[in-house]
Amino acid sequence: MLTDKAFLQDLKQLTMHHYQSCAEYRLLVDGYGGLKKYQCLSELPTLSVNLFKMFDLKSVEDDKIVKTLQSSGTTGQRRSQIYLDRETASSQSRALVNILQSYIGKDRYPMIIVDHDGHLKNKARFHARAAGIQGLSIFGRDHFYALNNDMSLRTQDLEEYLNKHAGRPLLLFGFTHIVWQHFIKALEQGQKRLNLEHSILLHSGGWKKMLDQAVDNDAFKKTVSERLGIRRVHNFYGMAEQTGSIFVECEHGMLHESDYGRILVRKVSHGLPHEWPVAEAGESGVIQVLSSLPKSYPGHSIITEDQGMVVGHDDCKCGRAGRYFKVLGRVPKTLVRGCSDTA
Amino acid sequence: MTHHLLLPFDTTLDRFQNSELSLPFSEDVCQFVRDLSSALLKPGEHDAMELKALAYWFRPSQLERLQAQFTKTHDGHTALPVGTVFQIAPGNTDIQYMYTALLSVLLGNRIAVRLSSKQSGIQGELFNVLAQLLSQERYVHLRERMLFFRCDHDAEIITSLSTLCNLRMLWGSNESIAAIRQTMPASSAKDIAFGHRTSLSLVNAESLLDDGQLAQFVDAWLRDVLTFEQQACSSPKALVWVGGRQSIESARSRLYDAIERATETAPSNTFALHQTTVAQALTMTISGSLSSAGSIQFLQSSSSNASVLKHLTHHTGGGVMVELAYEELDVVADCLPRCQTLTYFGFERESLCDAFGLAGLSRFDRIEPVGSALEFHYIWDGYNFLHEFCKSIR
Repeated sequence: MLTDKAFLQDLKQLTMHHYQSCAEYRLLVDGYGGLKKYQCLSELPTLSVNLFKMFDLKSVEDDKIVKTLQSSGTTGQRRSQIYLDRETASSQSRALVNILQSYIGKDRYPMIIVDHDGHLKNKARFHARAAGIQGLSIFGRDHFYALNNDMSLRTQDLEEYLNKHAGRPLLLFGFTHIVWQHFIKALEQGQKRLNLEHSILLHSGGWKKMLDQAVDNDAFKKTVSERLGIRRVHNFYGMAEQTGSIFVECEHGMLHESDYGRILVRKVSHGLPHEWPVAEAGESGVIQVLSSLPKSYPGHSIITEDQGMVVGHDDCKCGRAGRYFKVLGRVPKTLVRGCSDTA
Repeated sequence: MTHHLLLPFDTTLDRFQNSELSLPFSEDVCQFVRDLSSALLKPGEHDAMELKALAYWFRPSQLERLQAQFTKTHDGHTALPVGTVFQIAPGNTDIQYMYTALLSVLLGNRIAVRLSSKQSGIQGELFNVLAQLLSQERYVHLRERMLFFRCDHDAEIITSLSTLCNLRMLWGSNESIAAIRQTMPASSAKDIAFGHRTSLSLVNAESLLDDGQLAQFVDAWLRDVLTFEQQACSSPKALVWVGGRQSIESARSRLYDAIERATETAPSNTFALHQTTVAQALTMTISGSLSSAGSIQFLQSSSSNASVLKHLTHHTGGGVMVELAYEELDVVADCLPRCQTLTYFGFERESLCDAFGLAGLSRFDRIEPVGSALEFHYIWDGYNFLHEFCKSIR
């Protein structure tokens, strides 16, 4: 796997590129005293994830933009706008393939998408949920959307699909709370159990709704095993602001870095974000994600609103190199908001 | 379309509207407010600073002063309550709406307050104390005069209350005020709006070269800045230095050091992330150089002062201070935009007023010494509530 040192070189180049190509990014870096000789990843300027909701941050001409990705968000909330050119879009896809294949292999299994099929209508501008589905669809074949538009389970059609592929391992993908609420719980209500031995479940997405119901990762996996018969479950952590360089959960329940994506856990302190100390293994803090993929927008180093903890480095039981970590939840939002909000 | 009553939770709009008014400063209402104040001031209970401040503001000696001022204000005629007051509270300042609510009741009115959807522990605590007091037999007639509720923007209750109120007070962004104003109050009603505005602190650089004054300033100024995480309209968003370049540089460096010493506790994740977002967003808009001093991040802008001041309305708090510098007070007077609160340090109030003149002064809704940015006063944003909550009768 790429060393931190080599990864740093990539990111330094990206920093310089975005400094030259994105006006707002340049203003910020100048605000921090201009480009520096960054000696390690933690010294790189890093952007608050919220900035992508407030500014149109691009490092390419408008006519080079082929796709605009939006983060998911509740109605009324502003969404991140992520501008992709051909190069960035395809490097994100390639990275995704590379990363996932190292966990699920190269075979393309029949695939169940635990969602409805209405997301992919607008190919030029879509949000994270659509991007996730489209991005991951290439890993499977004979795609089956398990839900109707109203999120109800297509029980009959599912049964037919499963019969058609009886005995074969399947690939399942969905967002965590959708898999839980509209697939697992729906099967539970219908008192159905599936026996999908040798199949793989990929899932991603916030745990907040799950934790509200007191369902953590262990409980989720246990229920998946009981209700679906699936024992190969891979959660992954990613975001619209850095698609492609996802962090995948290994067989031992740890999220891992890749050649394209690194993570630093920062302990907030007074001072500018690149001055915050890097947490030691076992210490929790705010997650900063770094990616060598964003070329058309300055998203290569981002401070998220997630709390997490690096568990170790290079010595995970699964044998993979690099940092391995856990996401612990969201940082609570500021309790009070500006005058403009009388919601 | 529905609403959620908070206090009392079992009343109706009819009962509210039919509740009896009282004469301004009638003894039973005064006693109620005194009781509320002492309940909140009880040692060991209700630690929150906001509750103590509220209780302190409505203490007996202050009530006496208010009453004396009221009598003076309405000398030569009689003042009666306007009747029904409808207040739409802002989402950014916790229980500040309670000042105007209690004041309006003291002046004899009934008041309905629509609260923002943001829950706050302090609010809950306050309502518990209120509910307890109101459950007493002697305050039974007051029970229906104060109504606190939550609802969506388009709830019917907003239309109903707008139609039957005599005075409507709105806090919010210009957009949300425009939206609510789609519902006009009754033609004889007053409609007062406090839109989104910004505030500044004006500092005489030389005054901070003195140790004693510096210590005094830091304490008071941090209170103005960090309360409500700098998100109130009255929270200063910019520090306007007045003085020669050398004085300002020295003052600035002394100030940064003093703030670092005064704010040693590490910030929460929530505060740090919000601060980072605001600081970075401002830098991308205004441009300048960012530095950090304890809990505060300073942005020394490289744009023209005029440009900076224009963009200040986008500042959403979080402990980020934009710095501007002027050589002379006279020049400042002509440059500052309309803003809500101007706090000052190192100037005599009179010399400020002289320098600003009528034209300059009319740009501010409030002018207060540093440290008092968020203190409630019955003279607020250019309005005198002792007047507004009453109607005059010869």
